[in-house]
Amino acid sequence: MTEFVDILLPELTDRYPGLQVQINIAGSGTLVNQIVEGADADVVLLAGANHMARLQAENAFLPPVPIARNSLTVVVSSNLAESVTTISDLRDAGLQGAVCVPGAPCGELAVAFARAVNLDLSNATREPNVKAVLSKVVRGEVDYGFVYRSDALMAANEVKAIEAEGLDSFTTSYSLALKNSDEVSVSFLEVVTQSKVSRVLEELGFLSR
Amino acid sequence: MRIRVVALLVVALVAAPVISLLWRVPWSRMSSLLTEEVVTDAISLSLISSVLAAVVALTLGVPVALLLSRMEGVLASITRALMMLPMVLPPVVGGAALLFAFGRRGTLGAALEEVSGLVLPYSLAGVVLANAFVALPFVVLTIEGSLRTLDPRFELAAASLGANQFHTTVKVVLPMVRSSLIAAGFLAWARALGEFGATITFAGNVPGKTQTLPLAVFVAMETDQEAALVMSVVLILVSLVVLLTMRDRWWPSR
Amino acid sequence: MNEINRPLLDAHVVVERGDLLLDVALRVAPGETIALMGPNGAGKTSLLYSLFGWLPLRSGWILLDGQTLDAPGEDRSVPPHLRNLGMVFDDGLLFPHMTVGQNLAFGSDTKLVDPDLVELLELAPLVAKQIHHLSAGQRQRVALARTLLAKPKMVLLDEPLSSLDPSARGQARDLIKSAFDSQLSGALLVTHDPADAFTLADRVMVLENGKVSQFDSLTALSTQPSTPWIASLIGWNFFTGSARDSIVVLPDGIEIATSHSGLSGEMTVAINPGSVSLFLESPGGSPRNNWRCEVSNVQFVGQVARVTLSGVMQIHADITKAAAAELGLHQGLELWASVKATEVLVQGSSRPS
Repeated sequence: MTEFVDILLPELTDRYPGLQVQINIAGSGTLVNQIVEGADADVVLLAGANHMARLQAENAFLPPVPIARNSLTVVVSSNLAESVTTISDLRDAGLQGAVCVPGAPCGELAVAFARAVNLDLSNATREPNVKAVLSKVVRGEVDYGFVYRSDALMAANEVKAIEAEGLDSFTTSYSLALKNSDEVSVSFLEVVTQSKVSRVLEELGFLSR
Repeated sequence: MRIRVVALLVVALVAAPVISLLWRVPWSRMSSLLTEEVVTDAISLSLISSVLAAVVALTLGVPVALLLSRMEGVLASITRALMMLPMVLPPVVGGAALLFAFGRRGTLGAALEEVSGLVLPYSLAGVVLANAFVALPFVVLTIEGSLRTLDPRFELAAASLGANQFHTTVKVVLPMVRSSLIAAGFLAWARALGEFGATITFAGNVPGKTQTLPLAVFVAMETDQEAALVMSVVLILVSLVVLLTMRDRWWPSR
Repeated sequence: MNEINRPLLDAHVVVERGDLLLDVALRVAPGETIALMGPNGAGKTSLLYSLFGWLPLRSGWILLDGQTLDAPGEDRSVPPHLRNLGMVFDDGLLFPHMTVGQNLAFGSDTKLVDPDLVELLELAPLVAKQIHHLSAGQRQRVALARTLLAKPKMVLLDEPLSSLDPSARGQARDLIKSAFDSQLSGALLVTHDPADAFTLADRVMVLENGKVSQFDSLTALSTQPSTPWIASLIGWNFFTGSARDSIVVLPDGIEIATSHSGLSGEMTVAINPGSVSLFLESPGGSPRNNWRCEVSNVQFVGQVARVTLSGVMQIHADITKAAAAELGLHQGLELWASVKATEVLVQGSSRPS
């Protein structure tokens, strides 16, 4: 979602010259923790329904608006592109995997999927976020990793995605919540929900909401 | 009087976060959380890896400290600065550097895997290496400092009695800086126990294998904050016990 | 090579240390003890360290008992621990983490400590003690024993008695002397105290500014000092006579009482001018070593008045300026010169030189 925000933010600053936007990037769970402990934010963009639900329970933000969805994908490092092509190839005990930490939506999806296909992930390293998983696969530090479709697309030259039936049904949703309905916040909501954005999202590998 | 007030305020400033953390701890869930596998795994892994890391850092640090304590000039300054780097660098950078050297695609790591089949990341050995890496400067600094205050004529005296350099080092020099060896070991252990960045970057975060207490706390902060608090309490208690135990060695007692 | 005439140590040491250029040629005969004296910074300790291999030679050589230790021209240098040189430091430098016994055993291959030496240096009651429980004098004795037990070919001593208070010095000096006489093949002793040189050494080498300014017996240094520094250091009184138990009788019949006993044969005694007291009335107490003299000359050097006396006894006395004023010193004044028997140093002239 970082790239997504990077692409759209100029549109907002065009509308409001001189507007200072401070961005705090962290895992969704961490963001919610920070806000619960008193961090100040006008707009929050989260992955995963459970984190948004936790935020909503605090009654500090307006009801969320869905922005996009992302589906789970397995990528393997380029040197294994030939030998590892299916999920059952991943069961090779010698392979080192990486998934997101359990608190992150990507981690929860991976664990759910692994349970569904009976894949043992206990030896996989739990990385703080999906970018860390991807970079480990890109650098060959791990053999495979569970990432999002958007991440796999972005690194298509360096990793290979594995096709597997049912993977795309494991999705997470991104939603945006505003603290106040002030003019700038609402404008930001407009920017990220305008119709042409769906094409941007698609190019980045996201699914439409 | 004013100094005393300021000092007390500073002490309160340090104590406040610790006390606030203790305030939040779900004491009623303490025993059940402490017996969860993730927590017990992390505790035992942390104790084992930090002790091993301290031993490794001490073993590697002593020769370096001996060398540095006998060196003068630019070369000594450069070597010392290099040895101190892991203390100044963000641990994540240290972990990344380790990865580039000893990772599976690292310059040395790839060769190591080729030759011995040994993979350091995602293993206990990797945790120990990452922890020893960040703890090494504390060992070198502590021991070099006390070696420099040691009268060099003791080595002369030993040599005049026929002892070679190794014999002199083992029988005279190291026993004479014994208290700083102990202090260095404790410091290295404490640094290793709290190590996070280098560990997660280099050794990964595999529950039961490389997920030490700090890593488990980090993960739990997003999933089960109460478990995170319980593990934090364990870390605080262990650290306090060690600090109190070594107080006589680390600062002069009255 | 002639084994009999071969010196124990044959060295020519050229060492640069800061501003100091040390250039010393030195030969020590087997069994000989050389006292090394000189002002601070003259290079005495540097000489010891370079013999030991702790300071590199710029040029020269070091031969010990025929073995080449250092010869920069030949590009070889024996490491310190293989030189067979013992070293005794001013503060003993015992290893504080070991007991006396462990210190003593450090340099010797065997666990057995030479019983003769232990008895000689009165170490038996100390063996189990920790170092920090020893007095300064005890430490020096242990340090000396530790060095001698390692059976070095030669011992280098760096002001071994300087950490002792004056009362302990005399006793320690006597112990060192008996240890040297029974155990030693050769020694080089750095000292500031002419008494050490007189009692322990056969010859005295005086170093000034890195060079040897005189290398001779202490009596020769005293009678023919080659530099002002030597003259100022050694204004000692030397007398030679025949010894009878505790008394040394000079050729003119004057008797000098010493604190030793069983002396015989020809002996040299030395008296520090500072140990000579002057009185207008005959002092009471011990009747010995009181001589009726006449002041023949008074010279003031700083706060010290050097009084030359003649009459029954020709002797120099150093007294303070204040004391001189109190006595009303002037040429021709008659007074009493007195020396305690314990202040009289004795040296047999039968020792090799």
